[in-house]
Amino acid sequence: MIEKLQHFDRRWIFLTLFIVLCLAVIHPFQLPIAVEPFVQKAYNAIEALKPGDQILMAFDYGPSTAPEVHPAALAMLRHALSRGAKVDMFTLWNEGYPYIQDAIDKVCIPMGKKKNVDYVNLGFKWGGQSGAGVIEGMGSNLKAVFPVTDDGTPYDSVPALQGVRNFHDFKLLLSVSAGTPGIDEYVRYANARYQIPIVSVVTRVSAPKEFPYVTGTQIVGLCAGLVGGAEYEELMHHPGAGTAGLFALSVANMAVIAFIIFGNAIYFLGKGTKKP
Amino acid sequence: MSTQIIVWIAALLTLCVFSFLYKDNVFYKLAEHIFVGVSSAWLFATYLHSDIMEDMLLKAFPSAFHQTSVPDWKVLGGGIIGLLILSRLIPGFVILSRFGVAFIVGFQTGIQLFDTISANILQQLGSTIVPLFTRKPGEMIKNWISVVGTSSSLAYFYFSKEQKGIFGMFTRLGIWFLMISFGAAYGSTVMTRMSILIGRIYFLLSNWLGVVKI
Amino acid sequence: MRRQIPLIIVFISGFTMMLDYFFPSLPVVHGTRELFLNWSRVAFSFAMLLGVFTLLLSNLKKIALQQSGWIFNAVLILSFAVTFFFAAQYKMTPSGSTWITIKGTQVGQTGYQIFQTVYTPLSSSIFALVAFFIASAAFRAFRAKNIEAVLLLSAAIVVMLGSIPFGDLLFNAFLSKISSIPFGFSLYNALHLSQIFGEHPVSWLSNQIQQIPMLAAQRAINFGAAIGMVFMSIKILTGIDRSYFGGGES
Repeated sequence: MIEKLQHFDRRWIFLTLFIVLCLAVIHPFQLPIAVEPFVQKAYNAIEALKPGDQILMAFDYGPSTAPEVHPAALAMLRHALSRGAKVDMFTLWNEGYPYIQDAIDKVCIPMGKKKNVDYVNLGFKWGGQSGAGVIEGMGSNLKAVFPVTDDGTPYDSVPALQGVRNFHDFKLLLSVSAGTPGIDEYVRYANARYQIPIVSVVTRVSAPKEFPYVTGTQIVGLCAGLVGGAEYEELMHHPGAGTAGLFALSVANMAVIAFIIFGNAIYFLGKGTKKP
Repeated sequence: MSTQIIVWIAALLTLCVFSFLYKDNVFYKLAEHIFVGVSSAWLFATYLHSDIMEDMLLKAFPSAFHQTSVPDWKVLGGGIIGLLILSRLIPGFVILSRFGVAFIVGFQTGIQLFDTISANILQQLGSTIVPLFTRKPGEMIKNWISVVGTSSSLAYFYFSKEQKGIFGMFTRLGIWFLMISFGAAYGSTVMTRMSILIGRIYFLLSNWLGVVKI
Repeated sequence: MRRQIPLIIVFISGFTMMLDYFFPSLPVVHGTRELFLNWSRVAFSFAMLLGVFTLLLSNLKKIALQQSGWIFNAVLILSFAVTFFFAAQYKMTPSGSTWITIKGTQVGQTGYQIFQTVYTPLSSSIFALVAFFIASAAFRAFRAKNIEAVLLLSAAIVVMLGSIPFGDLLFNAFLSKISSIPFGFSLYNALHLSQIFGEHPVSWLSNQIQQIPMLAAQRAINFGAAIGMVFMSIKILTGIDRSYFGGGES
């Protein structure tokens, strides 16, 4: 029996996981949400914005990671706009482009915000794998990098960009990133040289790599993954996709923990039966 | 169940990819090749518009794009460098691509050198050098673990000296810190991948089958 | 000479970017830097296009030679052609209207629709596949064979439990179970540990693991990688390392 369990077809594991997750999605339960300190810091940083403050928001992710970071991105955008800040959105990923439009459709327009007055869509710009060409360019001359907005409006004709020249004119950089170019590059090029504070949303897998940068001078607040998004929605009292997916994610984690424990139990039992 | 053709196409493509879990098959290969074709075309189109047209052609020939700014022909240098890089595809002209690559490599190393020293070395050093004796016991324990953990993990990667004796014990401690780090990273990886899978399941059950209402 | 010129270009382009840190207000230095930033954005785009052209050429070659599985290569070329036809004519806006209007307005919508309908589900699904293999590896491969493996698995389990509400719910349920046993006692309450760990002890432990030992190790890794990057950059700028030219030429 132990031998059979040690060598059974892994496709049964795939099927078990799939069924468990489907059931969790079909029958979700509301769970209490505890807010991590880094998420609270991110919230505080955006809460400190005043009406008229200019912030940059980078949508550096694609469809493969959107389920994880897009909920937090929407929540933070809603928070920033509710504080009266002007948000200039751009992306260094060509896949991130449609998510800017999705954020405009789901947050900016329902909130009654005006295009090019309260928010600006600067679109996509490629600066190499490191994004250095774009980030350093934005640091010295934003107009040179984005001569027109996404809909073709010349930079000088955009009311929200009047008097905005470079990073020094922004209060905050809100980076929603899922890889490279992303938060590492903003820390290295934008913060190190121009000292612009950064609030970041990252995937859970890259969060550990970014913890050393949450020093208060580099990254001031960090939201990690779907859980971070749910925590931010909890702080905003505005449940969304993050909160909706939390139960299923919790069930998935428990399933993997159960697999680890069960697998080790079978291994040690098998070792025990093999001993003379 | 959805009646929109685009939802059905998206759902069927999702199932084609998931069919790989049973075994490699023609549907998965088809989905894979469609993915590569669509993604490379999207990449080509977006880079063409955002950088080649906006950053070069618009600035060099603004009147062609109904803009009134002054033409700046210096930006065409980027196009020349780009064409040098593309000469790699032409047999006999491969040597020209070295000049284009040289510019990119030199630019990248020059721009990142000082910023890397500042962000990844100096500021991280500053965060590591913390007082080891303070009035708060909790903060003191945290600082000791932080300093010992960072230095022992760094010591592990020093391979110029044999890792034995006291040094070996120190590097062994570093391995333990690294194992804790990798374990936490594994836990984070699980959550990332599961989030993406849950997103797909939501799409199948909600948008396609209509079993779940969001 | 053809070996020296690329090295000179590397040095000049790199040195110009570094000069701006020392002379940011000098117009010639700053202006050259801005120009190089612009050139780099365009050049990087062409570099990516090199990859696209190489992909297309290799697939076309397989179709021409009718190698095994050439049908799939034909599907790749066809999907590329269709997507590029719709996507390239317009800037990607859902409304389809743009300042680079060349033809009618319906075409742009289709390009966007192809991205949403084809690219998004394929990209998400391919990444989601890994979740199944992670679960399989958790069952079949993760064994607590030595102390390092025990540390790794323990940290993984604590972080996974602490990141979700279940961890605290289970722990609090366990504590209340213990305190309901006759003559049972809650060590947790007896030692006033609730004052240290709060109402969410598992989350607290998970955060402490991530913010102290894990952060220390990660900082060491980042630090080491940064030092390596700095020395590699110096070797490239001074011409000692020429591996980026390919071919192993010295």
